[in-house]
Amino acid sequence: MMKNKILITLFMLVLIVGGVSPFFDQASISFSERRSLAVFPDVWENGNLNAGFFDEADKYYSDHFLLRDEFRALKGFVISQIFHIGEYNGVFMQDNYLFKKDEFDQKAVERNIAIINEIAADFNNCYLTIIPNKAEYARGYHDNYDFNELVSFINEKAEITFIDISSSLSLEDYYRTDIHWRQEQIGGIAELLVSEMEMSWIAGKYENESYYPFYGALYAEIASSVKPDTLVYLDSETIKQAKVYDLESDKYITVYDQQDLLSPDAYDIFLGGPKAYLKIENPASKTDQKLIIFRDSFASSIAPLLIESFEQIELIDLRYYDRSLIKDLKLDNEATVLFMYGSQIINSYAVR
Amino acid sequence: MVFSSVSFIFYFLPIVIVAIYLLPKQRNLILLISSIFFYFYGEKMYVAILLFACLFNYAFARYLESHRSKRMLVLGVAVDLIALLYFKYTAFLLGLFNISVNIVLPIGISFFTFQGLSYLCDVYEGRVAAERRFIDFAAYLTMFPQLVAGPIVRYQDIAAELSVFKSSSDSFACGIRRFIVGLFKKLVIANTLGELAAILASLNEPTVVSYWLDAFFDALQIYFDFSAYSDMAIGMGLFFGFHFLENFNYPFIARSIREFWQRWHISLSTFFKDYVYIPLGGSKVKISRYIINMLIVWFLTGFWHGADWNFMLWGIYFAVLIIAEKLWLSRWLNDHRIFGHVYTFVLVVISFVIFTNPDLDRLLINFKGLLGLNVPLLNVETIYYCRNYLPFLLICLISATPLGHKLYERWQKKIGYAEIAVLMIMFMMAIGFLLDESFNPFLYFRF
Repeated sequence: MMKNKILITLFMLVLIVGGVSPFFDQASISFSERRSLAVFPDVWENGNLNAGFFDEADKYYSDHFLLRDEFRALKGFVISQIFHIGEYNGVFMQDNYLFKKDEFDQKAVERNIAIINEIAADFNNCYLTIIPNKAEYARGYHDNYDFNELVSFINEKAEITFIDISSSLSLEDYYRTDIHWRQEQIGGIAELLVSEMEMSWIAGKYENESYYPFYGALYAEIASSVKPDTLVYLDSETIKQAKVYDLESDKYITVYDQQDLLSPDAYDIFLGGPKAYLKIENPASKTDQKLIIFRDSFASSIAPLLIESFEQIELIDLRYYDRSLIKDLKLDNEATVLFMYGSQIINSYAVR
Repeated sequence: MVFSSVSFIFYFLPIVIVAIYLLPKQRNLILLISSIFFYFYGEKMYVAILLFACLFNYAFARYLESHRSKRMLVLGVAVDLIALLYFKYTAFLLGLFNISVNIVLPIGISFFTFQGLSYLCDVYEGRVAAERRFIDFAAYLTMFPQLVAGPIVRYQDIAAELSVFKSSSDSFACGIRRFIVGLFKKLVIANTLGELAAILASLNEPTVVSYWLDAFFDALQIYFDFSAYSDMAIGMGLFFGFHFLENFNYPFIARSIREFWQRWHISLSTFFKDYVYIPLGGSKVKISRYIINMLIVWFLTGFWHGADWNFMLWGIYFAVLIIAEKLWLSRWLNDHRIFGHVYTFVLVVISFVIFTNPDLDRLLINFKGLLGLNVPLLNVETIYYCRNYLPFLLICLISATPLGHKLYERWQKKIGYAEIAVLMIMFMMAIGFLLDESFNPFLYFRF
C-alpha cells in the first residue's frame, strides 16, 4: 500500500537525518539554554576504555541534534497549549511571559535582615529596597505569596529605612524570559531611589543599544514557545567615560563589554555579570555624592543609570564577597548605603 | 541503553534495521549480535549471565526432550532460577538477619529468566520441540525489543517466525505505528505524569485531594510507561518479522480486579496462570485449596516485582480481592457496571500506592492521607495544582481508554494520508520531549 511505503520512507528518513545531524553541528554554546554544549567523548582515556563513553556520546547527540531549539519549543507548546499545564518544572507561562515562583521563607528573611542591620550599624545613612518577583504582577494566575506580606515582615525587622518600589513597577518592566527587570524601563526607579535617599538626581541622555535574541534564565529552565526578549542597554558619554575597577581581576573594565553578549548569559553585558566588588568612578561627575550598594544581579542593570548622579558608586555582592572582609574595603561610613536585593535572594541563604 | 534515548532511536535501531534488510537470511544472527551489544551497553559484564541463560536453556532443553522426567525439569528450573534468586532476593533475605549487602540487579533478569523457564516447561510438556539451531534459540531469548522489560514471549508463539523471516511493508508500517505510539506514550505522557506526580508528592501541606491526585498520577504513569514499552517492543518485533502478543488491553476500563489482570501485564499473569496456578490445580479444587493456590500465585506475582515487603503486600492485596470477587462479588459486579468500573479503578489506584512505597512508614502516611486522617481535605496550594493539572489528567484518563483506538479504527480509511501527518507530528513531539530530557529509563527496568 502506497501509504505504508510513504510512512516507512519518512520514518527511516527521520532516523537517518536525525542520526547524521549531530555530526554537522559545530556550536559549542547554546544561547537558549545558557550553557556549553557537550563535546564528543574520547573512546580512550589515559590508556583505558572510557567507561562513560556511551552516556557522554548520548549527551553529545542530544545536544547537537538538528533543530534542537525548535524541538524544545515544540515541547513547550505541547505542555502549555495542549496539556494546559500552567506550571512546569517550577516555572509557569502566561501571556507570553515566563515566571518562577518563590517561597516566603521567614527564617531566611530574618537572617538576611539581621545581616543587613549588622552591616548598616557601621554607616550613618542606610536604605533598603527589595525588587519584587515579577510573579507579583501576574496575580490571578498563580499562588505566589503576597509581596506586601514580605514588606510588612521586613519593616518589622529592619532597623533602616525601607524604600518600597513595588507600586512603581509593572509586568512590562521585566523581561519575558528572565527574572530581571529591563534597564530601559527602570529610569524612573533609579530616580525614585535617589530622591528617597534624599540625594540629587541628574538625568542622563542615553542611546538605546539592543541585542536580539536574549534567552533569559527562565527560558533555559523550561522548553518554551515564549519568544525570546530583546535586550536593550542604555549608553551615554558619561557611561563610556566611567572607570570601573574589578577587584577580582584587579583590572579596570567597562560598564558594557559587547563580548558579554556572546556569553551564555547576555545579561552579563551589565557590568560584566556576577562580581564580588566593583568601584565605578565618574570623572565627569557634577556632584560629590557617593553611593555604596550591597546588592545582587538586579543592581547590575540599574547602576549604570545612577552614574550620572554620583561621583563614585561601589557595588558589593555578598554572595561572592565574605562580609567579614568588608572592613578591608575601607568603605566611607559617611557615604549613603543602599541594600538592594531581589525577593528571591532575600528569601534565600545566598548571602554569605 | 533505553529505547527512549537518542542513541537507540537514531543509531542502534536504524543500523539493525538496515543490516537485517540487507542480509535477511542472517536476521537471527544479526538480532543475536545486536541484542548482546544492546545488553552489554547497559550491563557490561552481566552479559555473561544472559549468555549463560542462552547456553544452558538451549542445551538443557535438548537433553530434557529426550530424557523427560520431572526431576530433570525441577533441576532445570532450579538452575534457571539461581541467578534470579541470587541477584534479586539475596539482599532482602540477608536483610531479615540484619546483614546488609549491596548486590546490583542485572536489568531484565526477571524477564529472560521467565522466558527460559517457560521454554523448558513447554519442551517438557511436549508443547514445543526443542530448538536445534543455537543461533535461533539465542536470538529468541536475547531479542532486544523484549529483553529488558517484556512482554514475556513464549517460544511457541514465535517458533515459526524464528525459522522463516517474512517481511512486508504493511507489517513494517504497522510496526512503525506501534513504535511511534509507544514512544509518544512514554516520552510525552508517562514522563510528564512522573514529573507532576513528584511535585504532588512533595507539597508543603498535602491534602486528601492532593494525595488522591498523586495516586492517580502514579497509577497512570506506571500504565503509560509500561504499556509504552510493550508498544515499542511489539512495534520493533514487527520490524523484524515477529508478532508478539499484546501485553496490555486498556486495563483501566476493567469492571473487576480479575478482569483488570486479564488486561494488565497479560504475559506475566498468563505465565503464572499456566505454570503455577494450573499445575497447582487452578480453580477445579476445593475452596480452601483454591484460596491457598491464589495466595501462592499472587504472593509470587508480588515477589517477582521486587524483593520488598510492599510488593508482597501488593500481591496478597490482589489475592484477597480476587478471592472475594470469586466467592461473593462477581455477580454483583456484573449487574452493576458503573460501580464495577469505579470500584476497580479506585482499588487499582490504591494498589499502586502500595506498589510505589517500599518504605512501610511512608506507605502508612500515604494511606492516612488518602483516608483524610489528620489531613485537611483541600487548601489553596492543592486548588492551584488541581487547576494546573486537571486538564492533563483528563487527557490521560481518556487516553487510557479504547476511545482513541476506536476512533482510529473508524476513521483510518477516511483520513487517508492525513494519518501519516498525525503520526509524524506525534513522532516530532516525542523527539521534542526526548531532547529536553536527561535520563528517562522505563520504570519496569528495575524488575
